[in-house]
Amino acid sequence: MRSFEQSINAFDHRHVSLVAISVDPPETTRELREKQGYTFTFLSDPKAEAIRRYDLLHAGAGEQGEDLSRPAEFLIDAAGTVRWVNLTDSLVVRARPGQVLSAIDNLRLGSPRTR
Amino acid sequence: MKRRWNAPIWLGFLFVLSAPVVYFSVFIRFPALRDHPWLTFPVFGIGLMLMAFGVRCAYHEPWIYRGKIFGTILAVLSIAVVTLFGAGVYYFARQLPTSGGAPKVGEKAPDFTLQDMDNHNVTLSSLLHSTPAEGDKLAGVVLIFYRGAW
Repeated sequence: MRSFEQSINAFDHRHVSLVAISVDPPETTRELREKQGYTFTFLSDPKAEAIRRYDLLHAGAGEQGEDLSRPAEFLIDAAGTVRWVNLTDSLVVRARPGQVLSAIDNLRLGSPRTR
Repeated sequence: MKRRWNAPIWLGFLFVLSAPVVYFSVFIRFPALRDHPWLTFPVFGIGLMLMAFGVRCAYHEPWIYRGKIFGTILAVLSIAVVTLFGAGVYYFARQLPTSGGAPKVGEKAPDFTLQDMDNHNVTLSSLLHSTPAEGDKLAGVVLIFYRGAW
């Protein structure tokens, strides 16, 4: 997510906003956001409702056996349609901002008027 | 006669220990070094070679070099560290659910209501109708699901 924060201007420029979701409660996300200097939106899903709806639940994966979300990234257009998905097969391999930005450009999603 | 300090063993052990420490503290921030630890394994390799050299000296010329016992112990420990690291990155990190039911390209993204940092309810549809930082119309949203700080 650090790399996404570093590329935030490129996402802003394409009129695409970033939203991070985890089971962490709002207090924890607020701390993380302040500590790491993240500027995009963070949402809390402590009961893993959205995480379940997206079939991303990694049951018992937390340090104390809590249910967590597996890492995943979705690009959703303004009409609410999924346009690009990344489900990593390894915890150490995450989507890079460049991948998402080129997906946005290939789909011609960002700033349509300038194209 | 006092036997010589077996420097290659210690130096090798230092290499082996430093590789995972550097990976998790520094490389983890850089996708190019993190996704496949191509820089970590050569460091392990150098460390193990140095240790093999040191242990070989200790066994071949035990009257000159020390390290027959501690060298063997450190070598076994080092192999364990390398094995654990490899298993962590290439086996345990891949034990993820298949998520076969995750929304696919072309499908409608399921809506949700979640709390933001100020405990306000936020829905996906409200996010899609919000105004971006620049310009007048939002083109889309990237949802980044992450494991959290637990």
